[in-house]
Amino acid sequence: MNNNDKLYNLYLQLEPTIAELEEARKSALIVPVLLGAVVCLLFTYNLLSWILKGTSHFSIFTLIFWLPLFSLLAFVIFQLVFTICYYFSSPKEKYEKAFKETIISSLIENLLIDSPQYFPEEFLDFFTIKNSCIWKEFNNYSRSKSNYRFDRGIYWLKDHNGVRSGLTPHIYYDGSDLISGKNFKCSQLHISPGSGLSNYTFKSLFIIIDLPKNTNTAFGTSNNISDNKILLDNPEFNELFPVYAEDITEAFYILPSNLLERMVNFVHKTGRKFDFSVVDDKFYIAIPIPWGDGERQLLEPPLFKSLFDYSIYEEYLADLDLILGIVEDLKLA
Amino acid sequence: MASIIILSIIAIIFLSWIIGIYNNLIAKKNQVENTFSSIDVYLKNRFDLIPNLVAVAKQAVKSETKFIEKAISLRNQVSNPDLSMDDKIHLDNQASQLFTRFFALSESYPQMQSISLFKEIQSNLAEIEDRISAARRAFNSAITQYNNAVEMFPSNIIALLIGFKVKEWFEASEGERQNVNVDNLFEAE
Repeated sequence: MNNNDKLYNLYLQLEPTIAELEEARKSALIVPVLLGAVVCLLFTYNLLSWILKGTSHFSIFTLIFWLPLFSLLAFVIFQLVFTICYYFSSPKEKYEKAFKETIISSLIENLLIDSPQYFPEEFLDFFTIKNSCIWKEFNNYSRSKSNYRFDRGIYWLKDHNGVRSGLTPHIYYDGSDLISGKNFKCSQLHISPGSGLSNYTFKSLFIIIDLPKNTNTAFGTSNNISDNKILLDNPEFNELFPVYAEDITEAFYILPSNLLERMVNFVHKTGRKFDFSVVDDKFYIAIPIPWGDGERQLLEPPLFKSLFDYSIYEEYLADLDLILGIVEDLKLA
Repeated sequence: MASIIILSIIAIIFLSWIIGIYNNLIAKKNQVENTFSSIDVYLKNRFDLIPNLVAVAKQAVKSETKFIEKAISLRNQVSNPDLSMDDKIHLDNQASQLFTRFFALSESYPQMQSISLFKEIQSNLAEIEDRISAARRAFNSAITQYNNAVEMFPSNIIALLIGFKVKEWFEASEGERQNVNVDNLFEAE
């Protein structure tokens, strides 16, 4: 049975749960929609009255003149009120949590090889990411955990008294969707280094794979690891990935020719260029994921689509294929 | 005066450019030597497995006298400290054939596989083979970059002046490229 058939069977099994979640989705939308509509109506009514007060002759032309502006303002106000209400409403949080704990968990446990574990609200530790040396923005931060305090998604550098200071550099570090497999871990991350550094902000799918080979080398796509740029024996790979390494032979050992080819194929297949590094016995991969307005987020529950729309589950399967496909494609696990 | 300054600036720029090309060539030559020394290290690791192979063969396949004699002879040859790189490569090809024959024998004599040293040889050899293959690729990649620099203009002029010549690739021996007929191994010798 292939994954698409498995998905369909799973969908049928989950239908009762989907029905409950569909109700939760609608209730999460009701308050923000109503509140948005009421505020929008009140605002436009008041604005209209104010304009009419100053106009001696009301005519249809006056209305036509103001209509585009009214529509635009009404739309903006509705959006604003809806967004504020939705993002701070507890039904939304409950809906998202329940969706991930039931639907996404089931998809991961039933459709992926070796049934990895899924923790919707957890994410990879900052210090593990720092050890990857992929981002030089973290170089200025201490390697010691004791120098930091993690509070509300931000790592604060402690001062002498162990209390955070507003002037010390801090890192906004948040994430979700930790998947822990037999010899890999991955999660989504949202990182912004704080004051005193660049304003570089990124959202990334970060994967850590245990290498099946014994090595204690370090190399990768960042010149944070070494200044020595090397060329591997695949010209296409060299065009896509600059590799910096001190020990060229170890880099060739960890990256055999077929792995180079698979990495190139992955970029062609997904259109996503990624960063990677190898530090000691770990292979780190950071794939930038879109997070702008209108972009679909990985593994996030739908808001304006019915949960009975089967295509959304196919999209989740594609998301999971992307994540686990990397581990499978690279044949590292 | 102004023309002297301009000429001096041009001379300095030209000299810096020449020095840059020269340093680049030296870096590439060193890269070739470094990667070659890696191959040497891993070849030595593979030679180091031969005494274990002899021990296993003596214990389990006493009747294969020709094989044991060949293995002992190879072990004695590789223990010579004055081997040139060509000698080492030649002996490495023979070692490849020896190990192929060794694993073929283990299928005919299953008792070999129960000896703990056999498993050790098997796992060590797999890693060493991987590392030799990686070192060869690294060496060939370094050679390509070096040869490109030696042959391409304008670095070829500097290469010619300092006596740098195109180097040979490290290629798998004819024996390694062919599918080995294990029954005929050593028969021709």
